[in-house]
Amino acid sequence: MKRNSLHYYRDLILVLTQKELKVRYKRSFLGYLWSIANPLALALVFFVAFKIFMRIPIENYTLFLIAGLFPWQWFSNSVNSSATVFIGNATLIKKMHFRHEVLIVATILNDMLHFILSIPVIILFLFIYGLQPNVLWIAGIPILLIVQFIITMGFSLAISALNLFFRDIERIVFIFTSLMFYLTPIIYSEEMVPPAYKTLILSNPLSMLFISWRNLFMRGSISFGETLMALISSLIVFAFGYLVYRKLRWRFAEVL
Amino acid sequence: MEPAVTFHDVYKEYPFYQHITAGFKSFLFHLPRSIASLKKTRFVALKGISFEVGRGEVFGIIGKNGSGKSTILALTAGVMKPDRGTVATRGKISSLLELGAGFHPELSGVENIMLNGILSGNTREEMLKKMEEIIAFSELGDFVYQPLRTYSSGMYARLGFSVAVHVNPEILLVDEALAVGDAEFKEKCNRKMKEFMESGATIIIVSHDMPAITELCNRVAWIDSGTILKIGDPEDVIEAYLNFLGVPPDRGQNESLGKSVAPDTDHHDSCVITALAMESRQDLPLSEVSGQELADHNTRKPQPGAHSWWDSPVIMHQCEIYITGDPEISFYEYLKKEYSIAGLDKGLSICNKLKVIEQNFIDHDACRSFDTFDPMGVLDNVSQGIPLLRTDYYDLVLCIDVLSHMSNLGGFLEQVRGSLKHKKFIVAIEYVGPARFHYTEKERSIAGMFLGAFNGRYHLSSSAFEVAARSSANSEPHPELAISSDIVIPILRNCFDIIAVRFFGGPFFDLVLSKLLGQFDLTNNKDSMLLRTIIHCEQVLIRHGILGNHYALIIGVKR
Repeated sequence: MKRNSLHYYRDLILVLTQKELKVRYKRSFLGYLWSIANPLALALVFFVAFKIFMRIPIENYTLFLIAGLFPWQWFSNSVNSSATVFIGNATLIKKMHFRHEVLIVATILNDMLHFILSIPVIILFLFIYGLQPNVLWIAGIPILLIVQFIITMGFSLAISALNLFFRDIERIVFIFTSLMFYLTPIIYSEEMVPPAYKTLILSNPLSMLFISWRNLFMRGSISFGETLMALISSLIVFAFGYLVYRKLRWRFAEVL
Repeated sequence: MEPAVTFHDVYKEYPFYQHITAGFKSFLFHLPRSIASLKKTRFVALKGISFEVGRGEVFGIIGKNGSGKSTILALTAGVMKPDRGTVATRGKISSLLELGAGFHPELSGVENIMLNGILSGNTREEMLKKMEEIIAFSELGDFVYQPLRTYSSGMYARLGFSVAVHVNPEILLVDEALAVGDAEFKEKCNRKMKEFMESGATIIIVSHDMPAITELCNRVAWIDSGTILKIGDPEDVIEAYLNFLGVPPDRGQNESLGKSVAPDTDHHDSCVITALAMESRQDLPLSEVSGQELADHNTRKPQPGAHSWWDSPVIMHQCEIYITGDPEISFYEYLKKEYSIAGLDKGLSICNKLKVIEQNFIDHDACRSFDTFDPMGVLDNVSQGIPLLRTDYYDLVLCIDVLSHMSNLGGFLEQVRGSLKHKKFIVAIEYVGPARFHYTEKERSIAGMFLGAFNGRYHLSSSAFEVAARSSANSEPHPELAISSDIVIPILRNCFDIIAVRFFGGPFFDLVLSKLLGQFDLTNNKDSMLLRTIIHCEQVLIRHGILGNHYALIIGVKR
C-alpha cells in the first residue's frame, strides 16, 4: 500500500519539516540567525566566566565550547519542544490517521537542519584558532548526526507522549535538560572530572556523543570505541522512549 | 463484495482523564484514589455495536449529542482504537470531521492543502498535480497565499471541503460539515458529493440535518447512548428518531423529505389546533378570541420577584445593538434590511413581561396588531400547545427565551407553525448553549473581575457558579421535562426553513445578568453603564474565542 511506502513517508516528513521551519520563524525578522545567536551568546558567557574569571586550563576554550554547544542546542531545542509537539498539532492527531511519530521526526530534523547550517560557524572559529577542518568530517558528521538523531528521538518520544497525560512534564523537561547539560562534558572536559565521579558522567548516555562531537570538530579524529558506545546508549534510550510512546499512542486522540 | 467499513461488537470507553491531566502532584498525592477513579469513572461511548457499510453506500448516522456518533467516525478514521471488538476499513479515508481539521493557522492556504493532502495519504507529486484544481474549487482566489489565521470561518470551511473531496478518497467521513459557506458554494458541494456517490465512493455522514440525510443516504443508523436503536431505510429510522424527540412523525417525515406543504392543503394542522381549542374552551368559537384574552388566559401564576434579563431595557437594548451591530438601527430595521421581514399585519409574541421587541415593531408601525402570550408559570401546560390559537393567521411569531423551556418543543412548534401564514416568519431569541454547564476557572476569574468593577456593592455567591441550568428567565416547573437546550436549533430546523442564526451572548451574559439582575439598580446611570461594559467585554472575549456563544437570534420561515 502506498500509505506505508518509504516514498510516502519521505514526502510526509519533508512537508512537515517545511511546515516546522516556516512556523518557527514566521513573523521573526532574523529567522535562522537566532539558532546561531543563542549558542554563541552562551559560549561568550561561559568563556568570560570560566576562561577569564576562573582560568580553566583548556586550550582554545571558545572553540571547545562551540564544538559542544552547537550540537547541544539541537538536542535541547528538540527535546524541549517535543513536550508540546502533540498538543500543538492536536487538530491533526484528532482528525487524521497517520503515524504520530513523524511529527517528532519533523521537529528533530528541523533542529538538525539548523545545526548543520551552523557548522560553517564552527569552521570559522577553527580558522580563527589557526586550525582546519579534517577530511574525516565527511564520514564523522553523518555518523554522529544519526547517533544524535536516535537518542533525541528516544527522549522526545517518551516526553511528548507522557506530557499528554501529565502536563507537568512540560516544566520538568527544562529542569531535565539543564541538569543533563551540566552532567555532560560540554563546558568542561572529561579529564577534569575527579575519578570518583567519572562513572556518573560516563553513565550519562549523552556523554560519549558529545565527547565524540568535540573530538571530531577540534582534532578531526573519531574513535571507533567511543562512537560505538554512543550508538549503543542511543539505541537503549530510543528503545525505552519508543516503548513508552507505543504504549500510549492510542490514547492520544482521547486526551487531547 | 467486501464491505468498506465493518464494525464488529465495538466497545469504546473513555476514562475521565482529569485526574491525571490535573497534574502530576495531585495524581501522586492521591495515587490509590487516582488509580481507582481511573478504573471506575469511565464514560462508555459505544456499547458493543456492529454494522457494515457496503462499498459505494451512503450511510447516515443520527442521534442526540453525546450519543456516540463522533466516536464512530473517529474509530473509522483510525485516530482511536476500540477497547473491544474490531473496526476494519478498506480503502483510502478522507475525513471532513470538523471545520478546518488539520490546518495550521500560520501556514498559507496552499501549504495547508499540501500538508492536509499528504496526511490523508497522497504523495507530493499527486498533490502538486491537483493543487490548481483544489484552489479553483475553493474559490479563494489570492487568499490561498495568505496565512490561514487571516481567513474567515467560511473560508476555512471552503478550503477544508475542497481538499477533502479532491484527495480521491475511497471512504469519505463527513461530520456536520454540509452547511458550508454560502448557498452557491453549498450547491457546488452537494453536486460534488453526488459526483462522489456516483463514482462509487463510500460516504459516512453524521448530521442533525434530517432533510439532507434523507436526500443523500441509502441507509441510516440511529445511535443513542452508545447502542444502535434502529438501522435501515432512512425514512423509517428518521421517523422513529423524530418520534422519540417529540416531533410528530408525519410532520417530521414530510419535512425531512423536503416536500413543502402548501398552506391550503394544510388540513392536518388546523385539525390539531381546533381539537385543542375545543378541549380547552368549548364555549367560545375560535374567531372570537382576541389577543387580549389570550394573554389573560395565561397569566394565572405570576411569579413575583422572578427577574429575567429580558426584563431589563438596558440589557435588551444592548442585545439589540449586538444583533444589529449599530446603535442607530433598531431590531426591526435590521430584520427588514437583512431578511426583508416587513409589511406585516398580525404578530404573535410568545415571551415574558417585557415588550421591548414588540414595542419596537409597534413603534415602527410594522405590525398592525400584536397578540401576546405570556407563558410565565404555565410552561408545562404550554408544552401541550397554546389553547385557542388561530391557524394560518399570523405574519410573525416572536419567541423570546421560551423554546428551551418546553418539554415538547416539537409539538409546540408544530402548533406555532400552523398559526403562521405561508412563507411567514418565526423570530426567536433563545439560549442554545449546553443544557448544563459548569463555569470554568477562567470564567469565574473573569466574572470576579467584572464584579470587582462594582466595588463590592453586589454579592455573587459561590453557589451561583455551581450549575447554571439555562437562563432563569422563566420559571422552570419541571426542568427535568424540558428539552436539552442544545437541540433547540435542530428541532426548529425540522419545522421551519432556518434563514439565519446569529449568536450574540455567552456564559456571562447568563451568569451576571440572570443571577445578579435583581440586585442592580438600573435607574442608576453608573450601574447601567457598567452593565453595558460587562456585555461589551464579553463580546470581545467571545470574538477572541475565550468564551463560548450561548445565545442566538434564529429566524425561520414556514415552508
